[in-house]
Amino acid sequence: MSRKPDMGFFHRLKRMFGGKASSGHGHDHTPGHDCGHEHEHGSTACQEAVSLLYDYLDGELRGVSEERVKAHFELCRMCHPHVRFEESFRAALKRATAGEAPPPELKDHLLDLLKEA
Amino acid sequence: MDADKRASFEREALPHMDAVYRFALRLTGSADQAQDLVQDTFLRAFRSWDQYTPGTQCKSWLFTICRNLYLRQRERGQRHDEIVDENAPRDQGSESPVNPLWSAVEGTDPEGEFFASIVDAEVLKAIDALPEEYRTAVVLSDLEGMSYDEIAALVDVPVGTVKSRLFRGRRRLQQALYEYAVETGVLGASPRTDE
Repeated sequence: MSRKPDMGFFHRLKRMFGGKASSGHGHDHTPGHDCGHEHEHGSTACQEAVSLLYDYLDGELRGVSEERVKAHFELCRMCHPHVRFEESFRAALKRATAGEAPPPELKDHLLDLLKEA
Repeated sequence: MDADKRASFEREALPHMDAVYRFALRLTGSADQAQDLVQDTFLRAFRSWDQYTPGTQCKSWLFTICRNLYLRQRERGQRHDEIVDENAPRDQGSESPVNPLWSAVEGTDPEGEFFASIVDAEVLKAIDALPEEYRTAVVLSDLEGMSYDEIAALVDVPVGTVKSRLFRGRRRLQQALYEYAVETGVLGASPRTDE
């Protein structure tokens, strides 16, 4: 399914920020960061973006401009790690369940059962 | 006639066996029970194949049957899940749009890299410990990639309830994984070193 945002996008974004957002350490969390928007952390724009975080990551913004929300998460150095945090969480769930498959004999057993049904 | 029915069932339903098994595994928490549940699901689906509308979401239809069978088994006492009160008043702290964990990891691991260091078995344990309502929502969305509408139809609740379950389920799961990471020293006072 293609409704999840492009993960690679955020890696490109990191490079745009000169790697500052990529280390995972020592982020600039001072208000008034140079994200290109006139707002501070905790501003209405950040609050709105954060409240839409799951809808955004789930591809369920429904009527809210995806471009606008995406632009905020792309450009705001405060909110950007929150997106990465959720993506890291989801990746862990996927990884942990990736290897789970039914035993090979289950399908044959099922086909036998269906013949008798 | 019977041969046609079997052929169309094998063609349309059977390819979803792996997905149904994964879902059954998350519902039951046990490989043996999951296999039994998959068999029961496909047998029931085969008997009801006349009621399936060709071209509609076969996977969702099978998942619905699977979950209903599981819930019936649970009623018979084969598994005890935590009962959640979804009408409980919202706790301002834990229900805040700002994830409380963000401030906890802000200084050390703001992007949640610790999630990648948690062994699979612990992640699975944490998923399985969620109440069924939350677990199903998280599994269907985050692992199966289903939309809110698909999940709402499958579980037979409004979309708002799906969102609320996803919110609470994800928060709980993140909290559990965070606590594990702190306990095991994956996340701690000392700075992390990348391998």
